[in-house]
Amino acid sequence: MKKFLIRLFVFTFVIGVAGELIIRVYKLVQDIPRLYVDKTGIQRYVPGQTGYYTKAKTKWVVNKYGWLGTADTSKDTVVSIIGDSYIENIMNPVSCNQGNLLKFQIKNYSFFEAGRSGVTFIEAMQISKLLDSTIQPKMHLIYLNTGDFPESSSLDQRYTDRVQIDLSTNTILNGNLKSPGLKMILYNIKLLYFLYLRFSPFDDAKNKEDHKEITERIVKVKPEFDGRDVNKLFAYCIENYDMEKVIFVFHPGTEKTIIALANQYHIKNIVLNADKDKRSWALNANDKHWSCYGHTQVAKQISIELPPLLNTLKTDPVRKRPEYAGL
Amino acid sequence: MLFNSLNFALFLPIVFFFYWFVFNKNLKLQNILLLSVSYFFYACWDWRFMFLLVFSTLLDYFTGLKMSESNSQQRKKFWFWLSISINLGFLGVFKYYNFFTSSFAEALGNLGLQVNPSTLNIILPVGISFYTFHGLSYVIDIYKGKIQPERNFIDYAVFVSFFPLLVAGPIERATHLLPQIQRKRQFNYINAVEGLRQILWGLFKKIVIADNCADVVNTIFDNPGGQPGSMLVLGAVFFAFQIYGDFSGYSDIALGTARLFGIELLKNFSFPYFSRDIAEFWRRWHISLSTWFRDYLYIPLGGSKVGLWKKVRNTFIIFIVSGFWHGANWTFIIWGALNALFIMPSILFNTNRDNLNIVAEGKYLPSLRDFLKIVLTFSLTAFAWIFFRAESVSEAIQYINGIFSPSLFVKPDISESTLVISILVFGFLLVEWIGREGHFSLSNLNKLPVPVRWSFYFSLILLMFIYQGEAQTFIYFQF
Repeated sequence: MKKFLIRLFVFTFVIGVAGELIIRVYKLVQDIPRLYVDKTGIQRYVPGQTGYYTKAKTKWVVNKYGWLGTADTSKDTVVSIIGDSYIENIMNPVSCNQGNLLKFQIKNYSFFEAGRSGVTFIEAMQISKLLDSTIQPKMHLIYLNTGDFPESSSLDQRYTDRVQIDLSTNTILNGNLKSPGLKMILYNIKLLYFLYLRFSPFDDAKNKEDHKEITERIVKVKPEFDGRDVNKLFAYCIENYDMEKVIFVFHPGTEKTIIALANQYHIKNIVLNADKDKRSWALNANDKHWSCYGHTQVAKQISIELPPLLNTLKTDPVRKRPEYAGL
Repeated sequence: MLFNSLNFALFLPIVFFFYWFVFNKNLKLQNILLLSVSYFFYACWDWRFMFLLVFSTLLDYFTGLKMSESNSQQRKKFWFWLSISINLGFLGVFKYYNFFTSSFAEALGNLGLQVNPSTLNIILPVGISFYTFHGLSYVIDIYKGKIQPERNFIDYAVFVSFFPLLVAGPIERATHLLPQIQRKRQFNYINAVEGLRQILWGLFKKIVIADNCADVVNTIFDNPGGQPGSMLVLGAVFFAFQIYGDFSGYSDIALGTARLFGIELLKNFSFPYFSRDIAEFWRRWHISLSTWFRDYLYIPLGGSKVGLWKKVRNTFIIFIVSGFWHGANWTFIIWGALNALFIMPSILFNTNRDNLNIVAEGKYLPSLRDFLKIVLTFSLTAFAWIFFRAESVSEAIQYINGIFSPSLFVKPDISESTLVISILVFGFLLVEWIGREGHFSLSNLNKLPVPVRWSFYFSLILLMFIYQGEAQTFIYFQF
């Protein structure tokens, strides 16, 4: 037994060290930048960090404002680009970021990106407020998907690591860093992070679901989208943010109810459309984030619709609180 | 809890520690530990079905005792049939009820009678087909007087629910496993190392071979209409390797884990894709199930000691039942029937026991004749797997129609990743070929010096790191 345990220990140690080296050399897991919560309750990255995405050749860099991506404020008029992991775009070279792509399409403006994985709709609005007090953009482009709205309300489920709003009291609930100690260990010991990702304990739940699906032959019926909370969210925004400066960019496939409500509140918006494109915008079948091609198409569509919206800035004031039409 | 999860990676050393360091002096406590952790292992899936497992165990335990205490054959028969009918009843309700009601309604519909069958919205308890067959073999063996009933409930319950074999086999026999549970087990260094090696090989098969092949297979099977025949052939071949890597990988991990506890489980796979005919394939594929059906169905029906036509009938029965055991779908029944059809030449010409030895034993390469036979057997097997993989019979037929079309000769559009997977599969087959004379592919590795062995282990782990496929559920968990 003693011999067995000693050999097992030595073998595990050697494999552990070698595994760590392989993972770092082949960049088998992505480097994750460290976060902090700023005074306004928004989670930002610790400036100056650099790292790689999985198997990527180019590095990402956290700028001095605590965001990844472009932070161009050189021109008189700055447009901010706010969103979640799609805007953070850690999976593509920085040349494929929305800021860079739009800069080539619309020359007179500077673009400033503030994207982070997991940003909810309400957090995006809070970020717009933060940017108003710092870099003062002329306009905010906020990229949104259907999922960003239910995640904004704490009534359905409170995600303690995200900024949400309690719609019963209209109170903003700031997020906390989730298990920062554990994350620090996982992100620094790459082998552990790799094993965690590949053999995650949470996969069992997924497998149970898979098993259930196979055996029950469940026919999943998509429930009808309930727009009541979105209506409350938009009403809150009208009261608390400068919506004249905000343009929503809806991802392809965003619930029609949400878009209709945005129109009802006269919130400027651009609806992206991928239906006519034969080529997929996704990175691959398992990752729906946009590829460089997808980002380019998005930037093209925005560059057509954005200039007229920028020009109407002072002539089309946002109306306050229209009646909820029961959409 | 999956074998290829971090949960299991934590669970196993903890159980190992308590088993060998805390309870090592007391066999009774070791068995209580095995039973508790086995139930915990099962409850991780769905604790509600624990009651079914416990009930099934109690049923067979008590009917076994009652049968041996019965002083009349009639009474013995009563207890025997009670156990059989309840066991099969559970299997019928959970696994086959919906299939029978919908098939019945469909049949009536074909006759012009419209009925709306009421189906049950229940999930299939994981491992039910496996532990039910454990119990059935135990009860049948007692009834036939082959074994005496086990009086110690803990020992019997460990036999039914020993965690390495609980959810996907191998299907054990009381004559093989119970004596091992009853006697004191000693830690054996060679056995433990062999066990770890088998676990490593099983993980490689699952993570690198099966999960990577699954990526290609899913893409092709999800859209067979848009693929040329040559790609459909590729999909069928990759599925053959996926299911082998998946199930034999699972079995290797189960056998290796059991060895760590000083228990030897029944061998489930013996290099089936090097078989020279279908009869040999079935002696090497899912051995514990094939021998179960042989002993408890084929032989009671008369086996091969009957006339030719009865032999043919028995062969079809055993293969169709075996197909049905896999799942309540016509695809599995046709898969079984096809295998029966493929084995027919061996039955008719009495050549089914021609290839009992290991192919090219003691040689590096097979003869051309053996090689061609291996290719033919593999092709037939891969063809039958199409039905196993397809969601419905019509989907399988559509797939086969696609193969036998002019596009069969179109150059397949093989991506770089598919090429890498093909190379991995080739390397895997090479290791299997070299190790085919051993208990499993790496069992002869201990003859090599430590640096070579460790380099090999390291290479396997390296490949698992770099070429891990998208994690997939073990296919046999659904059975």
